[in-house]
Amino acid sequence: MSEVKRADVLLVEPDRILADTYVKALEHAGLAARTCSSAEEAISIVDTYKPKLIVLELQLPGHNGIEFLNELGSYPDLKNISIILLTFVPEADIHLTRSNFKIARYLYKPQATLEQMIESVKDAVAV
Amino acid sequence: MMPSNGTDDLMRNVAEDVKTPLVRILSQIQLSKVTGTLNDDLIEATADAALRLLDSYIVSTQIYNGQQQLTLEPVSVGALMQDSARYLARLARQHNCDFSIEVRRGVGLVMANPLALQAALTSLGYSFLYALQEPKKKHRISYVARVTKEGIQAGVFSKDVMFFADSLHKIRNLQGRARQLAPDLAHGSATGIAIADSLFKSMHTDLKAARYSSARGLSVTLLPSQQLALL
Repeated sequence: MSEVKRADVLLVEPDRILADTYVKALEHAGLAARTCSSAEEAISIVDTYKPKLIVLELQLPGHNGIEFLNELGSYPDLKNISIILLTFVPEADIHLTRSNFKIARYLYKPQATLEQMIESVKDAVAV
Repeated sequence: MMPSNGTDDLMRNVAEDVKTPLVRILSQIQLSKVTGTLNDDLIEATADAALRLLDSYIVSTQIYNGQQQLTLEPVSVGALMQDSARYLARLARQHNCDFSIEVRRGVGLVMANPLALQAALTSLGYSFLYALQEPKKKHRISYVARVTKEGIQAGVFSKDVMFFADSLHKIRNLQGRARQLAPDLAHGSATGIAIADSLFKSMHTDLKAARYSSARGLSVTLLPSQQLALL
């Protein structure tokens, strides 16, 4: 079982019920995560705690996930944080204008299982 | 009168927004397989509220297609608010939210279609619940009816939902063209507002961004009925 410090995974999920479910599933697998619901909060948390991995929904209130990624990629000390996209946006509809951030995995939320999400997190933090 | 927003446009957004409750239900079931406990109350509340949103959408399409007779009659808006709050009570508990009703003095019967008004109020309440984000905070959403110079103002308000006039403008403009109708709000929360907007338009009244006791919200102005309410 992976040993992950509390601040190593940041879950950016605007739906509070889903966020709670994902955190419980991660905790059950021995993984712990911080959560937040907006890009603005996420930038502030990333700046302070420098997580190893961000699990990101792209459809966020206010600034969306793509804007968050562009912001993240513009900071040399943050651009190496791994990203898992766990999102309602189909992969074909995602147009990333920059590629200087590490997308470890894309998971389409309606079809991704909790098990896939947990395995993806374990893989990403183990690298 | 036909709603100005085509219900076909709205259908794509309904389909998008219903994914959120379905994913909630799926993930709860998957979680229960590893933890051994199932939050059946959450599943029931989520499914029930999503079904009511779909019912509201169907009412709006029936009105649009002329399958539903849209007659305005004297209606107790307070009683309909009570019913809508009761429908959404279980979902509200899951969101750590108190759903209150404030019917101010002098509010009597209004001229409206009871089916359409009920569906619109429930859709607005659903949207506001889905827009709540801060998990640790106790939230409050209120249905409010009060007398104004123009008539009876009826709406949904909360200090915990950042809803702006611009959000409503975006919801109207982006229908059928964008996955996320209101970029200010959480995914899954805007379609109920679009459905309510369509239903209110069919009753010849416009949904507007409004404020009440420092809470933000959405309201319509309804014509008071001349018929006396028998309490």
